[in-house]
Amino acid sequence: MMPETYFERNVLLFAGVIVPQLEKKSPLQKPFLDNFEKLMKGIDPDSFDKIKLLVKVIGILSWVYNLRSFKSLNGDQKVRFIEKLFHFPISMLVAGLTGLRSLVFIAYYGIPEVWRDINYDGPIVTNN
Amino acid sequence: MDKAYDVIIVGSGVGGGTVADYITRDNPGLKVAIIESGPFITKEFFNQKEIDMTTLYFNHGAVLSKNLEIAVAAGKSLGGSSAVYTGVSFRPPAEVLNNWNTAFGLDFLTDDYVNRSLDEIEDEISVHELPDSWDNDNNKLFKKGAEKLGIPLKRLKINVKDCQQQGFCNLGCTAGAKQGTLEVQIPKVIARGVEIICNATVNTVEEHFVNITLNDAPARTLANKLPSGNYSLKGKIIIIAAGALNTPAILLRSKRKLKLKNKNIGRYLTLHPVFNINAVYKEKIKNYRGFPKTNYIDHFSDSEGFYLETSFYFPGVTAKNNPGYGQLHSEMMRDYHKMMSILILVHDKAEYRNRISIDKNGNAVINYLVSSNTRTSLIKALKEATRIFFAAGCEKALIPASDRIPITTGDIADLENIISDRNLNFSKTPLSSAHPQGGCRMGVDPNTSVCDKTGKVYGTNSIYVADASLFPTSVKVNPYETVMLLAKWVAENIPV
Repeated sequence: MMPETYFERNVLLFAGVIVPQLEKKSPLQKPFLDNFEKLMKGIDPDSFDKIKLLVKVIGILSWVYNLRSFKSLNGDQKVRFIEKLFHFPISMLVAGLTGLRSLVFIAYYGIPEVWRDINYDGPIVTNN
Repeated sequence: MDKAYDVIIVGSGVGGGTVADYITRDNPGLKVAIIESGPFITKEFFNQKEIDMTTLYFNHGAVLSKNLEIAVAAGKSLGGSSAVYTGVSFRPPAEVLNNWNTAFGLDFLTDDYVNRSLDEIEDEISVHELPDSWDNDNNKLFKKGAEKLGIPLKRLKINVKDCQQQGFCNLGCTAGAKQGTLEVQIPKVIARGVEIICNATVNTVEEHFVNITLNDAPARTLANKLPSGNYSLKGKIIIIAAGALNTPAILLRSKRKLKLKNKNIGRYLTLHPVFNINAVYKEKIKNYRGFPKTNYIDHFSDSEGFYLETSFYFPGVTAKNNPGYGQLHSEMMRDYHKMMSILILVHDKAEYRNRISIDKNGNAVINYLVSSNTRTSLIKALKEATRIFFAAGCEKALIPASDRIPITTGDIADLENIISDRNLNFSKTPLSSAHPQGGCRMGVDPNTSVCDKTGKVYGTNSIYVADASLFPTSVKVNPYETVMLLAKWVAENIPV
């Protein structure tokens, strides 16, 4: 599954700043989006709506700050833009970004292929 | 459909499971149902994978406060939070019980009753100290660091049997070693004929009624016996044990039906705020294996208001807990196999302003402001934990509220300036909590409490509470034994 919606595309763009290994055409994008979708399915409707709104706001603020879409920014510009958002004067926006950052980390580090990079041998399961 | 029971228990966690066990011991004919919001899922379906197993929690383990500054973890599956706790077993501190006795009139909490009850409970759920030989490197390094600094250390008691040392107790134990409700009380009460109704949201309670919506069972969990839909279940006695987030919310949703005017419902919530912090040791240590917790420090409890415990988390949560993002963060995560970890638990005061409320849809909302005392304790705890990291031989520490990421050995002399309140920003490094308590305070004065000293909700005839929401103040330690103690007391005093 490659990003099909505005939401998925912008989540992936944000995720590429949080975890640079997800940038460009990384084969990890598909399992990342699969995991992200699983996480989104498990959260309450209110949080789900807030995350969707936040991703939309990131897109809008890119136009406000950069006069360009988030997608059209190059790698360094994306990093600078997200850094700026993490210093935004409205603490709820910063806290929302922090929450989205957490989801990105959990989705990314939940990919078994990533475990090798961090020297994690994977789970031990007994009695199944 | 209307089904009728003698007792309906809302929640299958530590409170619900314990109360179910005690009321059915000497009452073989009693018709009892347990209503659980989560699915019927057992160890055979656990797999220690973070993405799959965080479904055992409400909101994947992060129910956020309204101001987004603290994320609360609460179990949402059969066994409740006992399916995902580490099994750290503390008796309630004597000074806390003395305060509950003297300030709130809970005079049943005599030394004799408490010791007799907890001896029995601990025996049943196999509470014991793990031998030193079980210490993984994280615990060994914690000990080494503390001893080098002259900080006294204590061993934790744990309730496990035949532990396979898989590492991540908080993702459910595939060996069923943790002797929580899922492994001990639930099988016992099922054998005694107690009916378990999972996937059921409790909308409201009324005198002698519980109104539920039965939802579809998620994939890979046991199917419901009844079709999905709304049901009204009749019970002579209703015991709510849905945890400190949901028990107050159920009562608040039911306020009109129960004609409750008590202003204390949901109030005096405490969260036992937590930072989990990591550092990088000089060589490979593989702390994700072995039992994650064997040691703790209570040396700063009275003077500075915090405990330090060992801990170690799965990759996603570890990444979340480490500050920053981008290239530097990814490089730090490559050292996951060298990471040492410490859990900071701060004792927060029960304050009227901190509460569970409900939104327009009736969902629980956590209203919690971190006090200045808690901030001070957090900063002190971060400094002490960082000193332990370096005394243990770590090379870098990844600390929130620090103006250096990472802090290195060369920074130790300047720690007082590097870690400071001015850098403590919960919007960027939110706190966590796994021990929500209060909201339905037990006490003899209805003006300051929600439940009387038998657990009955003031102003009702048939509604009781039996979980951590009863705590008048924070118990200051991992709370499950105290929940079991109060649930046992409630069970013993219910007129069945």
